[in-house]
Amino acid sequence: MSKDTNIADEQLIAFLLGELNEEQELMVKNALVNNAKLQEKERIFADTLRLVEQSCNETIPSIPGNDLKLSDSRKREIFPNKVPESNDTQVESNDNVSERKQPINFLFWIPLGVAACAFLVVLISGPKKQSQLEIAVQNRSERESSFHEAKQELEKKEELVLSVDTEIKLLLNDQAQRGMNRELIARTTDEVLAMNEELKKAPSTVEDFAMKESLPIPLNSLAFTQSENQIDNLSAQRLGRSKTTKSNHYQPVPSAEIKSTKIAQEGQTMDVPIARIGISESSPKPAIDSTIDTNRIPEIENPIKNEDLPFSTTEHNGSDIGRDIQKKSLAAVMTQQDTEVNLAAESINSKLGVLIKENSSTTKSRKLKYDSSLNQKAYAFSTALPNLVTENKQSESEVKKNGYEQIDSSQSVQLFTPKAKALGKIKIVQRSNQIIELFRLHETRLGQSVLLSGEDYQLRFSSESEPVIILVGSLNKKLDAKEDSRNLNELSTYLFEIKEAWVLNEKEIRKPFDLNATR
Amino acid sequence: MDNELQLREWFEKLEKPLMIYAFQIVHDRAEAQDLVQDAFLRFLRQKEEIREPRAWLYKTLRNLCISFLRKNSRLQRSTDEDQLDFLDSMNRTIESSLVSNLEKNEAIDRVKHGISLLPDELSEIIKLKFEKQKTYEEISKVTGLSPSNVGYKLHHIIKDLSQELKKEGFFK
Repeated sequence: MSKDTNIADEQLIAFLLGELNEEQELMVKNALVNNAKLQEKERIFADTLRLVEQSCNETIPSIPGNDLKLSDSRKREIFPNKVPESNDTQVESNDNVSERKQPINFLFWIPLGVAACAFLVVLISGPKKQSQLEIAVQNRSERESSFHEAKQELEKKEELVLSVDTEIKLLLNDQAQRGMNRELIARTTDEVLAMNEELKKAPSTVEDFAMKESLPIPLNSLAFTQSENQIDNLSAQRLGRSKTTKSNHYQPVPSAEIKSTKIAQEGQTMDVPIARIGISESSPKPAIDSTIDTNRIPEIENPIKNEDLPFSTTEHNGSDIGRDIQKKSLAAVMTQQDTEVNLAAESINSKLGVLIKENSSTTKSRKLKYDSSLNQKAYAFSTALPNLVTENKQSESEVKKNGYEQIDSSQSVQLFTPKAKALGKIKIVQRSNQIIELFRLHETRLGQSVLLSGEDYQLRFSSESEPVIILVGSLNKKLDAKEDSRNLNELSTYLFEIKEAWVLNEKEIRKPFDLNATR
Repeated sequence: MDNELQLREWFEKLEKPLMIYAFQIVHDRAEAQDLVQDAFLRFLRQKEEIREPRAWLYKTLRNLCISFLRKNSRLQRSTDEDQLDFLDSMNRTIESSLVSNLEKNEAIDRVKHGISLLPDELSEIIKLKFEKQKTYEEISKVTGLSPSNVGYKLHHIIKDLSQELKKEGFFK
């Protein structure tokens, strides 16, 4: 109701529809004249009535179905969280399905139908085919398993045959090797016997010496000259050559000669002429000076033991062949510069040892034979020669060495802490009985203070043919070492005092070792 | 979220009327559903505040229907053009007249829709009054209502329609 004009909307609409009487119509008309709002309202109602009248003249389309609503899917699109409940949803959806024309996608349904039919066919006829397939698979697996078994059996048989073959081959090889060994032994025995015979036939050096008892030359030189003559003669005979030169004199074996000997030996056997080793036939050997001081005779009578000699400062004695060769071999070991020379020297020593052994046995028998008839010098010679030969035998063949000799001749020496921590190789400068002067080859703190000192340090001496010797003792810095010089190139010198000695046996078990005892 | 709650409320109220309205314009149920769904989705996505949701939904749906009819008529025209080139100008004239008539008849369609949604009693009153040109007295005799009551009911129908039409922009 419009309060301002006191004309109600109901009156205004009735006025427009012509339902008011004249008095009411006049009142409304008067109100409309001065009231714009009422005029506006009257205009809207008039337009609405006109539209209603027009709409009523046209047919209103009938609504299909009483419930036009959105489908659930459309509702879900609008309300993804929760679809408003509707009682007529099912009916509407059914209507939608019936009324909405959905194009049939044949490209989708036809293949799907075909696939379904095929699946049904497989399901119906599947078990029979499947059983046949299973049988085939089982047969195949059985055949494969039987084949594998047969293959394994064949392989086993082949292995057995192969093992039998290899055993037979090994037996044959063994027997052949035995035959060869027997042949070699027989041959070697024959050769040794022949050598003994030859030695027996050779003139006795003792007799020669007895006849020349007034010789001014030293006995040891004479002895070596004699023995060299024997060796040379023997080798010359074995070579089938006549000995022309009578005046064979000892000459120190040059290293080059040893090397060449070694090279010559590589492809040879025991038949290598010993005369070619060290005693050169072609090169004239200088005669030993006849005026050599005879004071060396006592030296032979009381031979210097190796352990008493300074390790690396031994003077060469031209008359002492064994010591000379020993010195050369030890020098080679210590310097470790020429292993080939070392090997050659060892081979020389071994061969010379064999020969000297034969010689010594012969000499001993002769000594017994001629002991009563020899004079003092002859006796001296007879005693000097075995001593010399024994020394040679010890030093060259290395059959029997005491502990000190083994230490001196070892190829590698390593230093260990009391807790057996390796400190690397050392170099022995010299040794005097229980004291070893040494320096470390791989010292890391050159020129600085000596860090290593204390008790129970270990020195391990190892060589190819000897067991490992372990010396336990105290390690101290040498007093005259220049600690403050700070010369980085200077190695610190140590003194090692031996307190215990051990040796590792074949099972690498420590055993006490007496350095003075020979092995 | 408020917008969704409001939409849920108005969806429950106007789902059916809007469907009817769209169907009355486009004469296709599926298209009517699409258009109504689109109208509600637009309502949901509307960022600005909607003061008159009912009017907004009707107006939006009507515009969507008109757009649909324009597209549909253009497609129809293009197929016709292939066959009848000489009628091109005529077709254009027809199309423009159809659109203009459509735009003009929007209000009538809207009123039709409003009347169609009325209960049978009220739609009968409207029918008696505007089709049969009956007076209140005559309508009261038919309906059994008093003449004042007929006037009262008729007044409410017209008033509501006018307000809706005004809100939906039919009246300037």
